[in-house]
Amino acid sequence: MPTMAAEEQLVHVTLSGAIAGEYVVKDTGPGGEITLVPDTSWKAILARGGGRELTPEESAAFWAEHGPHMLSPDGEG
Amino acid sequence: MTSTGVRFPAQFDADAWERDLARSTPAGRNAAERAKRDYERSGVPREHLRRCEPEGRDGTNLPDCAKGYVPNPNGKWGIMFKIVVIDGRVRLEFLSFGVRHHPKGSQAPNVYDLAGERVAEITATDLREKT
Repeated sequence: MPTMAAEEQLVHVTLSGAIAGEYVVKDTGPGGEITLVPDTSWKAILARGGGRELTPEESAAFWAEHGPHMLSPDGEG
Repeated sequence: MTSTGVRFPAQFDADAWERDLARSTPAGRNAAERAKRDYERSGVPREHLRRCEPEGRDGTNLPDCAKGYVPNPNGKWGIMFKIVVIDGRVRLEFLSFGVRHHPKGSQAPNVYDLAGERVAEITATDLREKT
């Protein structure tokens, strides 16, 4: 069964009915069989959560207020 | 550092959470579930968080992200959040959970790899899960 290349863009599928939501194609098989898994990309997480990312101004304000009170960066990532 | 009492509400996407815990060990899952329960009940203390480098050493691009060690303060696992706005208020949205450092030579993704892949929408995990 073929696998998707590491840098290949995911194929997104939207399901409705008994099983609903955003999914991605994990595998394709003979006869058109496909295996779907829930879409756990950041874009899908953000959409399901009903939020939005910070604007540049909001980001600057957030880190100015809270950054000094957080732990020091550890250089890990 | 003394506590200032500031806590950020956090929410956890069920699909992403379950996927990350499925990769983890029983000990990792237990630690993750305890942290999640605490954070959902009381929020994430600001003093538990570190700002992620917007551009990590390995080229990951994670702006507006913060992380905590699990268990706090020196656990071997990490939890990544992204700062978002929901209904006009700042929240932490779960981004990834996993080991901070695998043994040298391991090809398994760590918590930073998982976060970077999620943000970049690449499918490296599909191949890793099969090896």
